[in-house]
Amino acid sequence: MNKPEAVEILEVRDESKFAKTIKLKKKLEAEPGQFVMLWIPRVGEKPFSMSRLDGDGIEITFDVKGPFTKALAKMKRGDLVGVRGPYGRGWMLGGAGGKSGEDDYKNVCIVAGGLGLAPLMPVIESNAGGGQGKKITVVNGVATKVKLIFQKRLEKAKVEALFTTDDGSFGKHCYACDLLGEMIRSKKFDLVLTCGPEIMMKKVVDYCEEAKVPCQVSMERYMKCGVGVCGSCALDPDGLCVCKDGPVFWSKEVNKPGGDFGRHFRDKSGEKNERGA
Amino acid sequence: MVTTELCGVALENPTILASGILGVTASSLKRVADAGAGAVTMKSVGAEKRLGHKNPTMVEVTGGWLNAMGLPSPGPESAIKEIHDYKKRCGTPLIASFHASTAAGFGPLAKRISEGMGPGTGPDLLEANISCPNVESEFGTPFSADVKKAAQVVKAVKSATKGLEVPLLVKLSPNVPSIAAIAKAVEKAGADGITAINTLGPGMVIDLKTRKPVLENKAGGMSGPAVKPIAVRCVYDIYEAVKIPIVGVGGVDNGEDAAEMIMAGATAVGIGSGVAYRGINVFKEVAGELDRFMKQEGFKSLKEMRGIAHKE
Repeated sequence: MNKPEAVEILEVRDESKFAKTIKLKKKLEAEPGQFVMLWIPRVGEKPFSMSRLDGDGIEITFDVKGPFTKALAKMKRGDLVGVRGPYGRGWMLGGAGGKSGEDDYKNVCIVAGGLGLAPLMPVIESNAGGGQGKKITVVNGVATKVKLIFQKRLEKAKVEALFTTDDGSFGKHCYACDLLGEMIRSKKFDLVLTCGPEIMMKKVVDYCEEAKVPCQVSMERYMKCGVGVCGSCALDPDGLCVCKDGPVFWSKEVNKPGGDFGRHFRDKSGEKNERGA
Repeated sequence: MVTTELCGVALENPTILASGILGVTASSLKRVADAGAGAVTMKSVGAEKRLGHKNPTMVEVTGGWLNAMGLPSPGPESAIKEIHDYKKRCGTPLIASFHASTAAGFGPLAKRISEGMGPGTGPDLLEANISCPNVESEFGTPFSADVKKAAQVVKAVKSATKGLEVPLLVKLSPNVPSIAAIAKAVEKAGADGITAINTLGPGMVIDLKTRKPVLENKAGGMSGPAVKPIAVRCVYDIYEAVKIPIVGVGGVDNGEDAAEMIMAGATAVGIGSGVAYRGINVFKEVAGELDRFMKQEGFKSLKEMRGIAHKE
């Protein structure tokens, strides 16, 4: 039943000065990259991808930004939040745990901008230390050092992790997408997964398409129903719904002439808006 | 595949995407048309930009769904661009749903939408949404609850769109003592067809642990299989009362549901919640199932089956 189930919050913790993680008393059979709709009565309902799927409850990591995330950040252990889902299509890496007919990708690069690392953590951790026969390289870009998250978890996962900051305060002084661009040919990745600001993902896709490396992007759009009915999150040019057909798409599905990817978004009214640079 | 005609517009099959489902953008409407709908209805267009109600706007219940979107709309100028874009890319008939906060306000909006961006760029049909159950606190009692107001809306549209020749459907509410009386009034005022029904209720779901209504609007209109008997009865009553064609909407998920609507008197059937259950291919599937049903039962045309339940 597509109806929120009120579940207890087990833990609220800081990930950085700006980001928090909540852990819910709820286990879900979900694919990495899928999302849930979180409901706070009288505040609203919004989609969030899970930053942890194993363990005794799912976790969600968010930047404290708007009214909803501010309300979420104030909640405490034992408070109730509504959950429905999981929804949508997650990351497609094939191999063990993948669906039949999917290629088994072996050398995967993950390019995450800011909080975009959150929905990729379950992929990173389920392939920790080269388990499942996959080598994972992470390129994580943030605006500045104090915005870094999941440092310990990345270390523990024993994956190659490279960092960039926009201001040079940590790691390489450049954007994550540009670091990918520098190494995409020499590293011979067979798949790139990216999540972050759309302008960054667009550059990642451009580098991948130029180097002929398949790429998946996790899209974000204003959502209402979450089940592919209301049409609020439909993308041009093919009308694919981010909630049901995505949020993870192959770049070739969304990076099309006349398409919305990297160019347009729609507001709550359905009006199409240009995406600012 | 069995074809039909609605107010002079030929449909390749009698399934229509109902208003409010996958109808925000031209691309989304085209996707539904490509998936086999005989016609598609655009999400109701308002006279001004509106954001609609806050989430949660939709919740599942036994036998269906409650929704209270709250008439979000980008406004006429954006909607006209989407309609134009759709018409350039797709030949399947487009129905433009629209709504206004006053009866007189329906007229200029209908004219603006019909004119579009010049000849051939507008919708094939209009659908006056006078029956949204989710905006009463702002808009007052829906016009579909009052014979005089319902007729005023139709007259306003008809006089404003004179010369543009876009047929007008009027979408009615089941939440009235006599839907037949409203149907008669809109027919007399000049409506070309009737769409029935809009959502039922409204209803409410309360979450037991947080002790709060789930929908932000608290109440929401009900759709889905559980409302089908009410929709069928409404179509039956309307068919008795008027001569103009009826689009039967409410809980149609399969070919037999469609056949039931047509036997009650529908010319075509709208599908909304069915998309949630069977996905976007529901239109092609329902049309195919209806076709098979008709063959099995020996019906040679929709006309032969239409309203057959009224025969003594």
